[in-house]
Amino acid sequence: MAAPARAVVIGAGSTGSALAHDLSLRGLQVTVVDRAGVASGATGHNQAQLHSGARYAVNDPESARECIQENWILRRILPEGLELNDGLFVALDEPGMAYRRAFLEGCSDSGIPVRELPVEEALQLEPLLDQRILAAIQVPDGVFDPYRLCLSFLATACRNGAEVRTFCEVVQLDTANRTVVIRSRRTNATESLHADVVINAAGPWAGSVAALAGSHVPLEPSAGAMLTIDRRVCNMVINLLAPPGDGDIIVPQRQTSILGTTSWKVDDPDDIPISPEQIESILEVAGAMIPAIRQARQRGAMAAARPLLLVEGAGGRATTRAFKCIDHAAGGAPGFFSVVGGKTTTARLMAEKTADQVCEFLDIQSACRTRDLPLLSHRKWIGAWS
Amino acid sequence: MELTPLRLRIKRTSGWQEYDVQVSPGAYVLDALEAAGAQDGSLLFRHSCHHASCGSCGLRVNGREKLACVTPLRDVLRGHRLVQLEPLRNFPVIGDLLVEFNPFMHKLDSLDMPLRRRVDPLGSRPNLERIEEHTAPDLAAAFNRFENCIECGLCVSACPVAGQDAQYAGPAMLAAAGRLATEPRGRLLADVLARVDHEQGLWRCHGVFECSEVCPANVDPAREIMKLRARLLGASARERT
Repeated sequence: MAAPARAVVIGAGSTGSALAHDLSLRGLQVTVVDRAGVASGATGHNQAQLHSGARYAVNDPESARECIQENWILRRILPEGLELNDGLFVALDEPGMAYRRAFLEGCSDSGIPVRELPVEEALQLEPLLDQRILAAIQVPDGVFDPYRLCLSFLATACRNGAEVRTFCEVVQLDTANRTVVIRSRRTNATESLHADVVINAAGPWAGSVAALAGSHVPLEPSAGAMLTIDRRVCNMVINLLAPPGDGDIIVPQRQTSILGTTSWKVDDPDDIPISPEQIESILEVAGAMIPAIRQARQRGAMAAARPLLLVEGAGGRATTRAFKCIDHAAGGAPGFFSVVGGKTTTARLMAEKTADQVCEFLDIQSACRTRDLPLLSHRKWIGAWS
Repeated sequence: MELTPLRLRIKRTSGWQEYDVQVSPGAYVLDALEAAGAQDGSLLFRHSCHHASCGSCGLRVNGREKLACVTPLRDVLRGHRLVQLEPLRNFPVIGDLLVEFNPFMHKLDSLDMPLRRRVDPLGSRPNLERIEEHTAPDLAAAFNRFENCIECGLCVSACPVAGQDAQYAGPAMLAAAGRLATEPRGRLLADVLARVDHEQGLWRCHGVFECSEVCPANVDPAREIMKLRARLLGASARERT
């Protein structure tokens, strides 16, 4: 039997971790490389919302459909990694009520189950909501731990033979000679890895990784700031019933609530300052939904760059949450792929589509098996640090 | 935005090293650490969620166990310009502030504990602003939660016994057993107790309560340990009479 094909995946965020899992199941020998620790970039700094897709149902139906499908799948394969309390879209004013019909139609078209609650019932389930809400619609949102999600994918991949090299930076990408050179940040030693395929899953840093191979990716990093408060103020994920805007989601997790997000274009994903004005704008919208937020103590603030797919003519909120797998063969780098866009909720699907392309390139006949296979606990992850 | 200059004194594998960084007024220890990391790519530390849920950025700040991400610099600077950072104690150091978590995770994993729990309306530290205090118990029964423990290891670092005896189960694992004994989630209570009712388990704790002092998630491991001890002592007293 021939030796298995070798794949190097760059990035140990949700996309890279899910890819390592998928490719390992299809029989490839996978090495994941990350310049820092697992989920230390865009995946880690994430609002932790398992999307039902409802947020995108009106403006971005493709993403909405992907979200709901992946939502059901994650419930199957990662039951221990999810707080499943659903989500609630609440209308606070007449424009919100006017959006209601389009929202319900969008959810219906995308296959997202909804339940419109009498206001009285909604206030019993969520007693800290502003008592003046006009409407409440329940959707199957949830909450996850992005870090543990990645560790579960990686733990399962490692069980199937994958290797993870964290704190290693890619310094050279030579697709003609099928070689990736990495440098350990711990020892400063460089090492050359043989790779039949290289997949760039570096999120907002995908542009600089692609540049190492002389390639380009259509990426538009968009920053989002989030604020955490020291108490849990809702049982469900609370969303504002309105077109997506700043600070309109409250994600409860354990004993905290994560408020967010804002959205603005950034050039450098390593340098995202958070201004007091942004914190104030988040508090304003979230505080309108749940006034108790105004009395809570801030526990942390964070910002991340979403690795959004660039669509000509769009920008910021209007940009799609869709993803794309790019084969760089046409750009003179055969065996080099980049996956950009998407969301943590759809990471498994991004991995599936990318792995399909990779297997086609390598002429490997192997179907995706990640839809039904339960993932191992994050505690089974055996950290690889070298 | 006006930036504040400060100095980080970091215990690295190679020895103490100082970094001069600038941070915004509301910054956290992790922001300063990332600024130092931007100056020096060889500086090793972990971080992920930046809101005290992943448990990956635990370290000692001025000698005390903290999560870097939710520790405001102004609380630890107190008018000074110097902050001292060291890796967690009682874990093997991999490099700089990175420590080895595998034996710790293995101990936790040995309980095979389902991590989703019921809503507990009477949390260990009542806080009237918590949603649990406001939701009717019959409605709350339909909701679930992650376990509060974020597996950050701060309790193990602060525990004087864990420092002397690597075989000791440690506060995080004992607290998890305590939670499981309260809410067995399909596990056999006798199995859970058997895993901690031994010399290296519950009975090794010296009752210093440092674990509860440093826990960033209100798990209160010491209380869980004492509750389990009381339970086992009560059972053994009943057997004698």
